[in-house]
Amino acid sequence: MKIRVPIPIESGRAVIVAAALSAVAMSISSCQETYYAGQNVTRESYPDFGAVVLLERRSHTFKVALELVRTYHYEITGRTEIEEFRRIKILTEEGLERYGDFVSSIYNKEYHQYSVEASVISPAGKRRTVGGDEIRRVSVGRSYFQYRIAIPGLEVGSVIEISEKVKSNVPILSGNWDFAEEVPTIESELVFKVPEDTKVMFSTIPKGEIGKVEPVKEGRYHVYRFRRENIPPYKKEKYMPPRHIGNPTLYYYVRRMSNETIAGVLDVEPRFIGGEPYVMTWRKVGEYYARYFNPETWQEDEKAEEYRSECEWLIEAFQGEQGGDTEETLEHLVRWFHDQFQSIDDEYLYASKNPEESYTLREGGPFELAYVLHSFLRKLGMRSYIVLLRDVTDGIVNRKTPTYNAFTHPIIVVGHGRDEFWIDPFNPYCRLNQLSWKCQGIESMWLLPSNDYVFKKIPYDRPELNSIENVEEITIDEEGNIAGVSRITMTGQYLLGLRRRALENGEAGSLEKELASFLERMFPEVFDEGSLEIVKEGNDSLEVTYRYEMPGFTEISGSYMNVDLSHWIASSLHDLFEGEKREHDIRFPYLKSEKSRVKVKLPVNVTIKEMPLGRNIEDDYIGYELDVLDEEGTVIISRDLIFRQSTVPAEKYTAVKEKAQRIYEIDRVTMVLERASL
Amino acid sequence: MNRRLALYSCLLFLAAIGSCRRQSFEFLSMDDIDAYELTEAQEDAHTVILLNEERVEITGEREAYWERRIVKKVLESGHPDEGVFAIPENRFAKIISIEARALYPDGTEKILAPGDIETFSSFRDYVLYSDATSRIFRFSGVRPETVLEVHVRKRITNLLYCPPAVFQDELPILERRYRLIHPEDVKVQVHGVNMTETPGTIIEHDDGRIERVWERTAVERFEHKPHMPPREAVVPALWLTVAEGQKLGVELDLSSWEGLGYWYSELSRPSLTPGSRVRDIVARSGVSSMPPKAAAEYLYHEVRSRLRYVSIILGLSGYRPHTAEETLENLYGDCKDQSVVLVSALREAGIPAHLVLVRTADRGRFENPFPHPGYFNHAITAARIGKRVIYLDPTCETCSFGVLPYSVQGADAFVVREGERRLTRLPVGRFRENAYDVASVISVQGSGTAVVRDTITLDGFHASRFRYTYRNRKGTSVEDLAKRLFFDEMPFSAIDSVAIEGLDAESEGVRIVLAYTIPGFLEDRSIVFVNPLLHRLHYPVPQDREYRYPYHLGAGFVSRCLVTLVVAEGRGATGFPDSLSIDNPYFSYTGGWERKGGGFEFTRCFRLEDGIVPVDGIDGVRDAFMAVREFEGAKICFAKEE
Repeated sequence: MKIRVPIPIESGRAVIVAAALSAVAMSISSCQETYYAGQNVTRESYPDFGAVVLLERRSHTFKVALELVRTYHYEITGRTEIEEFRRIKILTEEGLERYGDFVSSIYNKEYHQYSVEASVISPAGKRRTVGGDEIRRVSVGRSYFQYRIAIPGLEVGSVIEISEKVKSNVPILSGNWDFAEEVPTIESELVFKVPEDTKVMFSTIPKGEIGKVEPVKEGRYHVYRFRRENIPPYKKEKYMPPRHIGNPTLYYYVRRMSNETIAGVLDVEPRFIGGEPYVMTWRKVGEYYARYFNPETWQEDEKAEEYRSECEWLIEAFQGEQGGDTEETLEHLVRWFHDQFQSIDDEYLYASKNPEESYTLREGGPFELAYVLHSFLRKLGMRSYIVLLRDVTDGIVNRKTPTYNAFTHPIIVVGHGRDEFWIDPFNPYCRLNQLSWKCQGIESMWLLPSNDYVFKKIPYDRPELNSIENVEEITIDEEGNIAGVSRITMTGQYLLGLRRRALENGEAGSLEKELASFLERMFPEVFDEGSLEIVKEGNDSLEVTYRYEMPGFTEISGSYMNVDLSHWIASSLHDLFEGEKREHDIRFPYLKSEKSRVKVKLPVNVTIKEMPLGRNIEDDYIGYELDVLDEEGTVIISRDLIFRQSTVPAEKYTAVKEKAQRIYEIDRVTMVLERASL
Repeated sequence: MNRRLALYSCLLFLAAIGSCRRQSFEFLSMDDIDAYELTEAQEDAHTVILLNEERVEITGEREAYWERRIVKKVLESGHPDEGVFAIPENRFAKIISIEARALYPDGTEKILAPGDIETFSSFRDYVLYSDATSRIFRFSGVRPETVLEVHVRKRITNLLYCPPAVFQDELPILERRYRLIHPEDVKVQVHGVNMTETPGTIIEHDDGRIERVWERTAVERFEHKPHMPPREAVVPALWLTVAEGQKLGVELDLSSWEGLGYWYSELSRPSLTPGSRVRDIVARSGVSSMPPKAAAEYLYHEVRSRLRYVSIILGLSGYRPHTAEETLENLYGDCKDQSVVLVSALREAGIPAHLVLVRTADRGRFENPFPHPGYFNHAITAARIGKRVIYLDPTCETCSFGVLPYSVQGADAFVVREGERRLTRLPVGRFRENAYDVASVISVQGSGTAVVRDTITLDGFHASRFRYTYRNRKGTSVEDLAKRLFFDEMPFSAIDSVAIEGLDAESEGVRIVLAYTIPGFLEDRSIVFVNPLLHRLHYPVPQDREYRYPYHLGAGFVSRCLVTLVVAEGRGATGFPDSLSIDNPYFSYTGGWERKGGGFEFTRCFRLEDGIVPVDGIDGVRDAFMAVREFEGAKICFAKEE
C-alpha cells in the first residue's frame, strides 16, 4: 500500500471531522412536531441556561460497494456517510448569541462532500428555511473548507434545526459521540450502521456509563443504536482532564470485517473477495507507523534521489561540526537540528505527502521532523526508537479503541549501552532528555525494530526535576529598611516554559524579558528587574540573581516592627483550589517542587516578639515543611513544597484542599520584632 | 477572534495594499542585498525588513495602480511564519500580479509559482460574512540568512481603497520609501499622521505628472507595551485623499467633514425609511404616549435585546447599512444595521435621532483627524431628549440605557446630520457614572476568623463588563465566579452566599452582596500585623522605566470604598497611616483610616479622569499610584490588650 499521509484510513484531519460530526438518519420531523416537542422546555423549567438541545442525533454508516474501475474490473470501495441532526431551543438572549451562528467542522475538499440545511421555527410555530447569503462556504486552508450560517429571524423561544450530511470517500471507521453539551440535552442518539456481522467495539467515559446494546438487522446491515435522555450539561472545571469534555462520551470503531461479511453485503460468493480481511488492532497501527518511518516506503517518489542527496549533505554538514562522546554529540545534534529545521503546526496550510521532502524544505510537522531526525540518527550509527504519543492536551489514547489517528506527536529515544536519551524533534525549546509536560504521564507506543510494538507509560519527571529554588540573604536595619540579594535556580518545566515563551517572542533578550515577567509574578514585592543578571544558563538549569534595597519595607507600630517573610516565598499552590468541590479530577500539568532558603539578619537592639513556628504537612499528594531558626540575630527560614501526584481524584479534593489552605495560611509567615531603644 | 473584536471591524474595510501598472519586475541582486548593513540593534531582531517600497500612481480621479516591494531577511531560527504572506484584495483593489522569491543561505532560490497561491476568506477565524479574500502563500524552509522578496501589484478602482502608507513595523526597517505619482490636475491631499506630509523629494515630470517621494531609513521596530496608545495612533503614516469626484455608493466629497456627513446621510437614507416592522414596534409598545426618555429607553432595549450581532459585509455593505426592515426580518445585523433600526424607530416615535460614526478608543485617535471613511470602525446612535443628547450603542448586549461600552467612551465620533462640521468626543460616564463602589463590614471573631459582608455596587461600564462576564461564565458557578473576580487576595475564603441584582441590562446598575468567612484572618498571637483591606484599589501602575509613548489610563471611573472592621474584645488595632489626598490632572484620591472601638473605619474615593498621561508626566503618576498602593497596602497592628 502506498502511504500518502500518516493516517491512511481516518486521515489526520478526519479526527476533527469524526470528533465534531453528527448526523441525521431521520427525516426532519414536521414543523408542528418540533413546535410541540419543545413546548415544555421553557426558561422557567431551565432558569440557568440560555438554550436547551432538544435532540441531537448522529447516524454513522459504513457502506461497502463494488465500483467499476475498468471494463469487467470491479473494486470494493468503502465509503462513509455521516448525517447529523441538531434541534435547539433558545431560552434567553445568551442562547441567541451562543447558538445564533452555526459553524461547521472543517472538511477536506478532496475527501468529503458536505451539505447542510437549516431552518428556524418561531415561537408561534412558523418555520423559515435558511438560504442564500446566510449559508456560506469558506475556504480555511489549502485543502479545507467550512460552512457558516447566520440563522435569521431567531428570537427567544425559537427552535433551530440544523441538518448536515457528509459523504466521505475515505472510510471513517471510528468516532466518538458526546452525549452532553454545555447546556442540558433532552435526547441524544448515536446510530452506527455497519455491514452485518462486522465486529464493532464500544467504550465509554465515564466507564460503564452507557450500557451494552444489541444490533438490529436492517437489510444486510447491522444497526447499533445508543440513546440517552435528559442529559445534564457537563461541568467545566479548572485543570480538568480534556477527556471529560462532553461526557458521557461513547467511542466506537470497527474492529474486524471479514471477507465473508463483505461478500454478504455485496451479495457475491466469498471466494471472489481477495486480500486480507479488515482488522483494526494496535498491531496494525504499529505496522502502519513502522512503514511510515521506514525509508523504503518512500523510494518510489520521483524526487527520492534529490531528497536523499540533500539528507547526505546535511549529515556531512553536521558531522563536520561534531565532537565528543555520545551524549555531547546528541546534545549538539538536537540543538543543530532545531536550528536547521522549522516546526510547522498549521495543519491547514501545511500538508506533507512525503516526509523526505522535509530534507529540502527544512521544515515539517511532528511526524516529518521525527522521520528526518530518525534518519539522521541511523546514518550516524545510533540505535533509535520512535515513540508515538498523543499530547495530553489532545486527550488520552484510549487503549480499547485502536485507531490510526490516536497519536499526534512522535518522539525519539536513542539507546546507547544502558543509557537512554530522549529527543523531541518538534518542540525546539526541548533539548536533549527534555520533554514538555504535554508528553509526560501518558501512554505511548514504542515501535520496535522487529516491526513489533509495545505500550509503555511515559513517566513524569520527578518533582525535584521541575523546581524553583530561591536563596535570599536579607539585612534589616533599625528603621525597617531592607537590603537583599536573591539567587534563584529554575529547572525542568519552569525552564522549558521560559524557553518556549522566549522562542515565541523571538526578539533578542526575550529570555531575560520572560524571566523578569515570571519573577515579577512570583516575587512581586521584592523583585528588581534592573539588577537581574543571568549567572548560569545550563542545559537543564538556569541560575539568576538580583539585588534590592527597599526603604521602609517593614511595618512599624510603636515599638513593634513587622517583617513579612512571605515576600520571599514562591508559591503557586492556591490557584489550583478554586471551587468548594469538584466533579472531575484535578490534573496538574506536572509534578514540581519549590524551595526557599531565606536568611534575615536582624538589626541590633531588637528582640523577637513573635516568631513563626516550624510546620510539617505530609500526605500522598503534597509534602510541605517549614523550619525557622534563630541563630544569633539571624533568622533562617527553610521552606519546601513538593507536589507528589499529578492527579488529585475528585473524591480526595476536599481533603487536599484543606491541606493546601493550611499551607497557604502558614506561608503568610510574619515575624514581629520589638525595638528596645525607642 | 472573539465577537467583541469582530464587532468593531464591521463598518469599514480598506484593503491593506494596492497596485501598479508597470509589468516588468526584477528581484534585487545579491549585490543589492549585501549592500544593506545592519546596525547592532537591527541584528538583535529575529527578522529585518531590508526594503519596504511602495509606489502609487494615480491615473485618474478614481483609478490608481499600486505596487509594493518588500524584502525581508531572517536572522534567527524558529520563525517559519515569516515565510507566510497574506495579501488582501476586494472588488475595488484587485491584485494584478504577485511575484515572490526566497533566497536561501545555501544560494538556492525558490520562485513563487501561480499554483503556490491559495485564496482564502479574509475572515478565516471568526464568523463574519464577507466577500473580502486574501491570497496566501508561504515559503518553506525559512531559516537564518534566508532573504524573502515579495512584489505585489494591484489596480485600484476606487481611491478610497488606497491604503495608508505606514512607516513603521513590528520588525526593524532599513529602508522605507513611498512614491506617489499623479496627474497635475488630480488634487491629491496627503495627510501625515505622526509624521510630516511634506515629501523629501518632488519631481515634476515632463508629461505633467507630479511625483512625491518620502523616505526613511533605519526605522526601529514598533513594540507594543501595555498601556501605550494603540498602534495606529502612534506609528507614522501617510493617508491619501482625493477630495473631489469620489463615489462610494453615492458621491463623496472629502474636502470637509460636512461632505463626509452628506455622503453617509445619503448612503444610509434609504435604510432609515421606516416600514411596517419599525412602525409595528413603535405602535405595539405605546411609546407615543410615554415621555421621550422612557420611550427612548424602551426602544433602545427593544433593539438591543431583539437583534443579535451578525456582520454580513458583501460588496458595499461594509459601508451601506441594510434597511431597518431587512434587519428586523433577520433579527440580526452589525453595528450600523442595528443603529439604523434604532434611529428609525426613535424618529418614528418622534424623538430626533442620528447615526453616529465612531472610531473606537482601541484604535486611538489622530492628533489632526481629517475627513475619511476609513477613520471610523463603528456606528452608534445619538438621541436627543429635550436639550440632552444621549448616545446609545444597541450592539452592547449588557449596557444599560445611556451607557456606552468601555471602548466607545471618550472615542472620536461624527454625528451624521446635515451641516455637521466637526468631530465629537463621546462622553465618559456622563449619563450614568462609571462606578465601582464597595461597602464592606468585617467582624473578626475571637478565633481570628473574619465574617465579612460586602456590598459591591457597579454602574456604567463596570456594570456592563460584569454582566458580560457573568453571561459568559460557561458553567462556572456564581460562587466560583465571585471568587475569581473579587477574592484574589483570599483564595481560601468560604462563601456563604452571593446575591446579585441587576443582571439584566434594563436595570440601571449591578448590586452584588457577598457573605463569606476568612479563617485565620488574624493569627492567634499577641501581636499580628495584617492588611485588612479586602478590596484594595487595583490599578496598573506605570513601571519604573523610561517610556517612549504616553501612558493610557483608559476610560475614567470612580471607585468608592467604605470598610468597617470590628474586632472581638481583647484586641485593638494600631499603626494606621495618615490620611492621603492626591489631586493631579489624571486622578484624584482621598483616603483615611480612623480607629473605631478596637477596629477601624476606612474610606476611599478614587476618581480616574479619562486621559492620556504624556511621557513627562508618567513618573509623577507612578509616584502617586505608588503612594496609594502603600497607603492601602498598609499592615495594621492588632495587639492583644493586656
